[in-house]
Amino acid sequence: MALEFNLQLPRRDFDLKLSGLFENGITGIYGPSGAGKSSFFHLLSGLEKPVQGFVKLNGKVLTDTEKGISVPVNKRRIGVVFQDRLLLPHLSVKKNLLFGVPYVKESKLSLHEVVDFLSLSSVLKSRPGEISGGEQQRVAIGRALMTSPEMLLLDEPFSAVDYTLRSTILPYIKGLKEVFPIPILVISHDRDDLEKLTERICLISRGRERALGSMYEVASVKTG
Amino acid sequence: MGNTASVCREVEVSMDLVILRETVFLSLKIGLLATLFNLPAALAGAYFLDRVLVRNRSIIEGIINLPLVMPPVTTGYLLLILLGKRGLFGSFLYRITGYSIAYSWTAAVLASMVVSFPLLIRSIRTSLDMVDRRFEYAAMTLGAGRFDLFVRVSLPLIIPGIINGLVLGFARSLGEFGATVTFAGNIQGETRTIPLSVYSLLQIPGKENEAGLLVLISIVISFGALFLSSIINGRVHHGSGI
Repeated sequence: MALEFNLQLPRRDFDLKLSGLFENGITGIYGPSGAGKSSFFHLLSGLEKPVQGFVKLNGKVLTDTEKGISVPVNKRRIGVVFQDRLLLPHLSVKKNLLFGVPYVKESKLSLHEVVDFLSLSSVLKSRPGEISGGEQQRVAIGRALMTSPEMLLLDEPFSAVDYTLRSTILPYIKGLKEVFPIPILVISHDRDDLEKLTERICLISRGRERALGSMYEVASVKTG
Repeated sequence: MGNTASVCREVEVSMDLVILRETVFLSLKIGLLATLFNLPAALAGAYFLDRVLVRNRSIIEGIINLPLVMPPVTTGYLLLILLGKRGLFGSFLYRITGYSIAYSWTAAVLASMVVSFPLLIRSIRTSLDMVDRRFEYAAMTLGAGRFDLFVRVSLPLIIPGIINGLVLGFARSLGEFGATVTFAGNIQGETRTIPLSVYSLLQIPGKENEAGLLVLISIVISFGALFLSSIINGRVHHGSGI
């Protein structure tokens, strides 16, 4: 499985121009705030449309501005874990996890497997507002996994969690690549967190890719 | 003679009570039906205005809100022009079915619907506007289409707004006078609701007590509706953790 893209989107401060090919496993998207990381995710998931370019996932065209193709967000099979989790407040954890199941023809994972993998059995009946930030983050990941996505996007999974709680999420995200052989893109502006997750980091600054490699290789590149 | 006078008084009192009860039940029936019939249209209208319509929104909002600012009697007169026996659509309906809407309890329901609709749709729209659109984006990435987004995400989140709108609409229907008296008339047992009955009783010397009793009943009903809505809202808020 692989993600191939070439995207252009004018923004107020700069023009976002990104292209590349990401294969299975975790790729860290690293860069300062306002570098265009979240816009990149919105373009991939279909929440924003590029002025020019394409997105291909496993050979299937999701966006192609020249051919006028734009697969709707709900048909893309891209799991997104938003920065603010966005768990539905009126539903229990269990119902949040099962939310996307009716839209999937064949779910590769059972609720039991996801709950076990993310250690969520004790909070299934709780509402999102009643559980900790780390648990909410795991529910958001589980909810996306339940839809058997062909790619997973995690936007700043550690930003809303305090430093001590990060260690409770990190192993789960790291474990994803073993269990789910799909491209997993993780946005973070925290160098340490990404370094613990992956060896493959894409540095983005002002809408352009500045470097791709290990954190050691990327760290020496100036982002200005 | 004394016995006959007392029997007559008792009959008169029981007749008054029958009429009173009839008036209260008619008001409740008209208010509830108007509110319930308005609900699906208000939900669809609020969604259309908030989520679908991009252009000419203020024109359509203006048309919807007209009954709020127009004198109710003129609203009733417009309804009569449209749906009366000789009205634009009413005459057509009368020719086909032999039935005229005007001066019937259906007309009272319609008049109440028209005047209370803006309150219901405004309340729902305000709530819909306050729903964080990012919840819908999250649900979209999970596979939900437009209809499911509304039914499974937006609708449960706007329940307090719907309840408030229903109570406001019901209260407005209960107090409706001008449009009803013009379009539906003031017919005992058919269209004479509480406000019309209070007005009619105040025209008859010595009937002030009955009018006062009806006023008291309408206050109790309105207060009860508000109390019920605050209880339901409290449960919804508590249950959803919003």
